[in-house]
Amino acid sequence: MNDSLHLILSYLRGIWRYRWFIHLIAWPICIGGWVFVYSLPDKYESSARVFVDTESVLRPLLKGLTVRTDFAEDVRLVTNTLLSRPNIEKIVAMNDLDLNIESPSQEEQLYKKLEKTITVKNARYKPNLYTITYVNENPVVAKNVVQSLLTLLMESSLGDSRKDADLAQKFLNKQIQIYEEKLRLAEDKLKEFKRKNIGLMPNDNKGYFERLQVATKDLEKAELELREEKNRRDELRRQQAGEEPSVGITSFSVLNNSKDSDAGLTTSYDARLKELQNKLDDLLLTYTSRHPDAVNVKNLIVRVEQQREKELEKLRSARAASVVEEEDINNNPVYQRVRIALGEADANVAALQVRVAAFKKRVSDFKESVNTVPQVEAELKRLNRDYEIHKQNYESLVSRRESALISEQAERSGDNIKFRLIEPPILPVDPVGPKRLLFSAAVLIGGIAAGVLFALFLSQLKPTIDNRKDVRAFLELPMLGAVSMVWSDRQIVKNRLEAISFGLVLLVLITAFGGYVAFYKYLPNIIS
Amino acid sequence: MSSIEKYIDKLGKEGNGQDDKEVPGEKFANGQSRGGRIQEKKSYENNSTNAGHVTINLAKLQASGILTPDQTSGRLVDEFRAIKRPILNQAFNSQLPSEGNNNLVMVTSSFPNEGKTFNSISLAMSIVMEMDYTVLLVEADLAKPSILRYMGIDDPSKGLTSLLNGDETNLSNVILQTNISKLNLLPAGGSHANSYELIASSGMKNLVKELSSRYDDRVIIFDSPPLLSCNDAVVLSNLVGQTILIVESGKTERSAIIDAIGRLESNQNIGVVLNKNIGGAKSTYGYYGS
Repeated sequence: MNDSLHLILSYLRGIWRYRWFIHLIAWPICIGGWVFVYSLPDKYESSARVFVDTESVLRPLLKGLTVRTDFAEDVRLVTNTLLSRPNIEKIVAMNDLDLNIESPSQEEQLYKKLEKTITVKNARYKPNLYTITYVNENPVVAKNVVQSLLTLLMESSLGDSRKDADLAQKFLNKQIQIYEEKLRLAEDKLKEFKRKNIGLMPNDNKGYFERLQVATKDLEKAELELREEKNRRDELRRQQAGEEPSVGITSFSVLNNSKDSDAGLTTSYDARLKELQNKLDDLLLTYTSRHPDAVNVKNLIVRVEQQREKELEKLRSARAASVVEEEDINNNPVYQRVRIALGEADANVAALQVRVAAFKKRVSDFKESVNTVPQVEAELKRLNRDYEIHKQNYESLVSRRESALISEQAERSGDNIKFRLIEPPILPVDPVGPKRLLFSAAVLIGGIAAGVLFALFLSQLKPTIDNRKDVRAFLELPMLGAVSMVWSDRQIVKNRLEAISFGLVLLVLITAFGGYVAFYKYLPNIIS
Repeated sequence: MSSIEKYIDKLGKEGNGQDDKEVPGEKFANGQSRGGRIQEKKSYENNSTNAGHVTINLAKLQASGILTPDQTSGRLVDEFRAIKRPILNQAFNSQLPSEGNNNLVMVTSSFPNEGKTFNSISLAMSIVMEMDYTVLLVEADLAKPSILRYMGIDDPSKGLTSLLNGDETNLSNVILQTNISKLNLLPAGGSHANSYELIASSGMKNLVKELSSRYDDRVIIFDSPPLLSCNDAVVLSNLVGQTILIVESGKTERSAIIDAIGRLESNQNIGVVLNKNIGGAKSTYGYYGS
């Protein structure tokens, strides 16, 4: 610590040694600097405040980005959008800022300068509130540039998004057209196909093999029914063609004992004959057939049978000969019913036969087209699927277009929210800069500092010895001792005077500064 | 007590009241060593009729800030006490081999006005306050001698120059006694153009030899010209045993000092004294004594 203190002190002593150089440097710097500061042209600032809904302005820009950036980023984005090269060129053109430009590099410089000096800031707690400022030596230019910026902002916020929306609309429309076409084609294809393969179209969405099964079953059923009906008919025919119908008499015995032609014929001897038969059976149970009772009965039975036969002959011939007998038969209601039933049965059989034939054909057709039907089904499926897909796309495009239309409507109606002018730029009357007071103070301090530094520099250029360490280090000789400075009274006075004069000069410098500031501040008042 | 001794006493009382011991002068002339006892050199010089006696204006010295023997305490006193100690050790007690001229001390600097004369006179005064030693202060800056001026003594016409160019042959005629009993002066005796040649002459060599060997409790201090101004000091440094380099603290350029040192022979005993030191470390921590 002691060492560094000593070091600092030795620096100070060095500076003091060259103290008049401080003035030598400081005075020209200060005077020159003050003159320069005075000569700086006044700068006027014009600013406008706008409310920008960055959501809507930036949303088209941020399309695709899912991360919502923070507001500082917003400012930067807005600034970059606003101060893009085309915008700046427009501003330059609008305000005739390029009248003095002769070369492209100058132009470039101008653009760069504008880019730097137009500031877009937003208030910290009101992030949507932006302040656009521009500083220029000409107050009118300042105001106009800000005004043109506002105009650009308005135009761009209106124009760009609308352009976007239009493009989107056009695109959607085109796509919808394309898909409409596709859909129509698919529909047509489907129709054509259905038409060509009408017979093979599935019913109730049943597949080929299912249908084959169904057809086979149907066939079987129909065949069964046909058989049944046939049987019924035959039966009925038998009933009708053979014998007279008898009410209440079972035709059992008659049918059993006689041939077909005897069917329905009855004689008076039938009952007796039955009786005798029964008697005989009884006898035969207890006695053999050689028993005299049995023989008697047997002879009786033969005699009755002969009589019956004769009667039967008579009946037969009677029936065969005359119609009256048939009428009798026909008049029998049962017989009539049988005849009706037979008619029906005939008809049914015929119908069923037709049905069976049809089913048979169907089954055989199926069996023939074992290969083609599944193919057709597959093709149909494919066509259907295509159609469905096209249909879906088409529908989604249409709905998207509708929603785009709706959102555009919404945006359009909300345009005045997107960008609102809060404070228009005014024509500045008082200059905002340069900060002359600050600058001249800086010049003063800088000049003195430069002087001090120069003095220090000089002292370091010509270093001296002023302590034991230096003696040892640089001279490499033993130090016998140090003798302190002895000031004579005259010398002391001289020293004091000299220091005072130095201080006075410094004071003069500072007073000059004060005078300059006062002069500058009050000169306009004096003049005006 | 012989008349001589009485005379000596009288002289002694005029000075600063140093105790004198009388010794027959002749024996001094033969250069007998007397050890560390106080010796009366005046007896030697008393043999001549032309021994000059001057009065040093102590007030004037004090006004210039130079140390005077009546100061017994104070910063300057302490500083020179520190400075003279190694010089005296080197001169009288050193174990190092020497050529016998270690009691010859040259005070020089790199540039003029660094404080050689100030330091020479102060050093002389400080050594005079010693119990054991005496001082002969020589104005060796033949071009610009300043010791007598500081002391307020009129410049006598004869001095070192006259010795060297043969105008004077008797040393005793030239050496001045002062009101300080232990301090004698050898003035330059008027400025001379080719001081360099004078100092480089064999006459100087002989004189120096004689001066150093005559009294071995005497320190001879040469107030020389600056090293960089002329070459006298370089020559002189070859004749003396010790060289003190005065450096003006914080003013003399380091490179110049190194330059000056470079001019001296490498086998010189050189010591540095920082003069006009401002704001150095505290050299005293209060005072001791009164």
